[in-house]
Amino acid sequence: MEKKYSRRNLFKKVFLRREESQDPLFEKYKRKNYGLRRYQSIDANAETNRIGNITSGLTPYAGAWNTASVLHLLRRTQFGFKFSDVGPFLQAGFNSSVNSLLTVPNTQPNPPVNYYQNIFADEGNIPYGSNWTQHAFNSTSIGNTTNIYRINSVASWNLGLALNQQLNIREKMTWFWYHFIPVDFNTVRLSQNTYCNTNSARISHEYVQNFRNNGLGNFKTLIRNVATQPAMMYYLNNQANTSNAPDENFAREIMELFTLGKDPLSQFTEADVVAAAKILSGWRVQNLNAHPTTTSFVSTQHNTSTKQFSAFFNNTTITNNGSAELDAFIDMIFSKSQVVSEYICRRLYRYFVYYDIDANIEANVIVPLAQHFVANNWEIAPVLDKLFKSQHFYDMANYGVYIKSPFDLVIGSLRTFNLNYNVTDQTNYYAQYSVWSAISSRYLLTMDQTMGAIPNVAGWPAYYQNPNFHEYWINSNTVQKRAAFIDAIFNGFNLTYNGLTTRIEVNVIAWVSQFAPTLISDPDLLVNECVKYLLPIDLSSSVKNNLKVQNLLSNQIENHYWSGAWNNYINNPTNAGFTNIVKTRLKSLLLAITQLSEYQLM
Amino acid sequence: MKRRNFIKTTALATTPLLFNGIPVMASSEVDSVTLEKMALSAINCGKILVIIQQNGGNDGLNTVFPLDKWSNLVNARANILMPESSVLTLNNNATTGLHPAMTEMKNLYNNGKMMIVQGVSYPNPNYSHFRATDIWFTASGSNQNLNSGWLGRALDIKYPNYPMDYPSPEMPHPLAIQIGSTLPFSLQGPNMNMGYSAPDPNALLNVINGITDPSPNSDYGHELTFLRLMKDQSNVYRNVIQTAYNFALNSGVTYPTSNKLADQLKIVAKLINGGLQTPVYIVNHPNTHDTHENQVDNNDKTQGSQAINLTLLSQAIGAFQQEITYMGKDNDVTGMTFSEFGRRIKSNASKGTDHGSAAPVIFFGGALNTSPNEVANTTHPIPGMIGTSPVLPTNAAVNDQIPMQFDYRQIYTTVMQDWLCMSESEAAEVLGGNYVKLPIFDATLSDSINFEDENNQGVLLYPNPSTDGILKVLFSDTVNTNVQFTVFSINGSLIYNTVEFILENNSTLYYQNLSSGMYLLSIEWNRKKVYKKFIIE
Repeated sequence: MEKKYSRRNLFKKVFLRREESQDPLFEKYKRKNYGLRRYQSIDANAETNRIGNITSGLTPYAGAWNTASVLHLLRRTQFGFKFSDVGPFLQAGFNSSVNSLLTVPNTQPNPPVNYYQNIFADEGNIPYGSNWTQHAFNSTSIGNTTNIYRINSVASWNLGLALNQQLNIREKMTWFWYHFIPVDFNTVRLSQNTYCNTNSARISHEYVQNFRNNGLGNFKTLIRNVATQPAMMYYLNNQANTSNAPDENFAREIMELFTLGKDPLSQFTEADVVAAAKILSGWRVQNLNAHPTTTSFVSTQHNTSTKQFSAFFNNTTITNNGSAELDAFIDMIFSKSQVVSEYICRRLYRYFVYYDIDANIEANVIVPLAQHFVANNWEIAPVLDKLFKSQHFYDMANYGVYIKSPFDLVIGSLRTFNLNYNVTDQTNYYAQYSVWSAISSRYLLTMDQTMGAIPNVAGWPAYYQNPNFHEYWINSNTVQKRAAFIDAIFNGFNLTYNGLTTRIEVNVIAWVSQFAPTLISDPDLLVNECVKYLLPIDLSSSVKNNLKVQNLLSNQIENHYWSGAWNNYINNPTNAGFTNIVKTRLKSLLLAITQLSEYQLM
Repeated sequence: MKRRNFIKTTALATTPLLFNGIPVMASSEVDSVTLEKMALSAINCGKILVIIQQNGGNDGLNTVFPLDKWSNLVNARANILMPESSVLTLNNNATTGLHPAMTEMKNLYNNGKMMIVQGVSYPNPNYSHFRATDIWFTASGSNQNLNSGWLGRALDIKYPNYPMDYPSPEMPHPLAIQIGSTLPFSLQGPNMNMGYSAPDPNALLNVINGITDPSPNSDYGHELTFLRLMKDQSNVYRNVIQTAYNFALNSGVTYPTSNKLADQLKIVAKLINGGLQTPVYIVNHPNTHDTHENQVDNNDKTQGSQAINLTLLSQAIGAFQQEITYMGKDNDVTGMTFSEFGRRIKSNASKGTDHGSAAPVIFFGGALNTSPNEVANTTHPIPGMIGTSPVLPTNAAVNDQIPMQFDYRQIYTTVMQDWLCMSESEAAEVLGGNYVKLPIFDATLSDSINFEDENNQGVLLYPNPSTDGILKVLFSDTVNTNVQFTVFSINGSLIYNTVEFILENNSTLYYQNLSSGMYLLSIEWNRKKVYKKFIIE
């Protein structure tokens, strides 16, 4: 059985991870200089060229609103982009586009269902295709295997939502919160608490749903909710926090990881952790075997002493006041508003913009954004609104600097290239969930990011780990896996489940056919257009010319060979010969572009 | 975290005693002469094919000249035809000459190191660059559309489960190396491209030397360089390529400068010299051969774009072949040039030629069937040429084409069977049918490798038989260099391939994992190679 992570174990785990991460290539090539952010375009004479410091701040962006800026916004707030989303955003203009991204509908997605009936009959008699999320097992011996299938169901379902995301920030934000305040599904399942082995899927699902439903809401409310979310009660074992033997795990992390952080201004003490643990004692999940499962306050397990906090908290004392102590404690944390708001803004910045926060960015972006956060009473949406409308967000210095996370790369590519991630028969639940699961296990897992699995309570290292942040996604193994994924979607493969075959293969002709016809038949314009949409920063004209000659022209030099081939296809779309000629060359072109390291950036 | 998995650990199979599904026959009672022949033919499979693609449709008649039909040529293409006296003549071949830009290739021909296959095409030829290129790449019929390349299918048969099971002890190197950033369609296998792409000669040098491409001096540039280096340097084949490339080659051969084809072939030569077992290399002629106009110079028809193209080709091949010969790999490496089609017999008014059909395919190397004694009294009695100089109409009309003598798939099947060691049925599977082989390769070659007598070859292997799998190797002279030891099973399957630096003149080989039986050991050092048999009891 996997041991839950005490603080000591966590340290050990983090430490061990770093011990093991001595990938010699990573050590050799990782970034070593920080705080010198700058931008230089490929063309050294370009107007935007700048070697000096970045000085842009939160002033509303007033620059051009073009395809590049739309794509920048979409890639950072969605997983990839759909070509069909670009035009409307261009049309709508900059303010409306950001507004619509931040307008998250209240509609609930259809819940995860029993997809697994044919391979394992649900022990709670939930029928095939039905919602299991309101069913609780009142047993520790019946439901163990069902619970494992249900966890798979949640993970696949979440991937399905990300793949089918609407044109708003909800899914990207859900996974921000999930990784920032995580629970590992398997750790919860294996927690030794009674009924976890049979009911963890349900509370894990609810845990993520809380973020999906409230991701743009009030941060302080979110923290209060998380503190008593059943899944968190088990993950950081506040469930075991008793009056006479306080467990400090959650007490520490709520301060160190979820609100105050450990940046220099955050000076809470070990004594504060001890006092916080006493406040948090007595909260208990008592009905995990029933739906809905709630966390209640058990006064007999609560430490009734007066809790004394350090000078950092102005020597606050919280006297015995039962369940209300938790609210007082959270009020006290948020009274350190500068520390909390700046820490959260840095985390958001590293998730949406870039990791290297130098003195200018701290002063011109983080600090004023944090003030805005406090002024808006911890509402998240105004913070994102400010950031995504800022001059800084669209600063050329921020284009293309972001190493795509596995979600960005895999989910993004599948969306951008309009692949068949949904099966044709929506009622073939087994096929549908298995397709999503295959995408996860074949690709996301090999690149070290999946939904519901987190390496430790601090989240994915790419978003928190000094000093290399996003670069931690890349090691000599994952970088090859990323290349193999791109090969796979262009070469194509079949996923057959339950009698239904789903072909995952980029339809290269359909993809370029999204462009205006005059752009497709001219090979220079076509290469240009593909590069514009697929890469964050333009390539030099000589590289684009090589791409054209080697791929679209089969090493000929005359453009008319491509134009002729394309026109032959357009005029005879059912002719297999003409179709094959353009298909082969387009595949070669798109594969060449997406296999460039530039495609790994956004 | 899976970070601990970042170093790919390839488990070394200890005793892979199966090769292409053939179990090892390790009994010394079997007739050893037969076994030796089998073994030698299998060992001879360590062959390398270097394909040079001449994009755009090379004008065969302005490359390989039918001297015996000169007046027909004059009638058809006077405006681009050079004086007959300018054409380079060939030994023992009065019918045929070469473009004067091809002096190096003429010398190869005259030394029996070049083979011209005349009139290669296919029924109902296609005159579109793209379609014709795809036909050559996929080995399809004129009206057939295939989604994979012939080499890709061939490599998929020879090396199943690529890339999952590779690199493997039997095939530790890339299956095919393309010099150029885009992997050619010909290497597209059923599920993926089987090639390893080295972006361009300089980039390959960059990869090999660990130099980065320029990227902007910015955060973007930093992340880009980081990603590029991580990708290039973590490639499973990078180390073997780097090791091979760094292996010293002091042939003294001077490659022509400002010749991008020579640049590519020079890299290929270095990789071959370094011991890469990669069976297929693909290089591209840098210029188009699509000479619709001004194929020749107005004042001197021996000059012009065709002359430039052929000079690049001939000089590059000449230097490459010289270096291969120096390495002693003359019999292991064959080059082949092809173009998607030839050009029209009759020239056009703009001093060029339009798209045509059949053209010669040229092979070069030391293992060609060019010995006059061997070819005398055969169907193709001219040493160095298969087929005849093309039949041309007396007065060619615009639409007249050079007649096809051989289907290009006959060349493919010959290469697969006689050079890449595939069976007839495997070749038929790749090509979707049987094609008649051509006598391109020297069939007697395998006889020329002999096991030398224990006493006079300068290397002693003992005790033999060995009871514990430990063998001492003693050289008669001081070695002080890297020595490559390759163990084959008696049916020729490669079992071990190791390189050891041998100080002074002796070493110990540890083959305890071998089961009882007879094995062959090839010992290669200082451009010398000897074969030994040994028995494990």
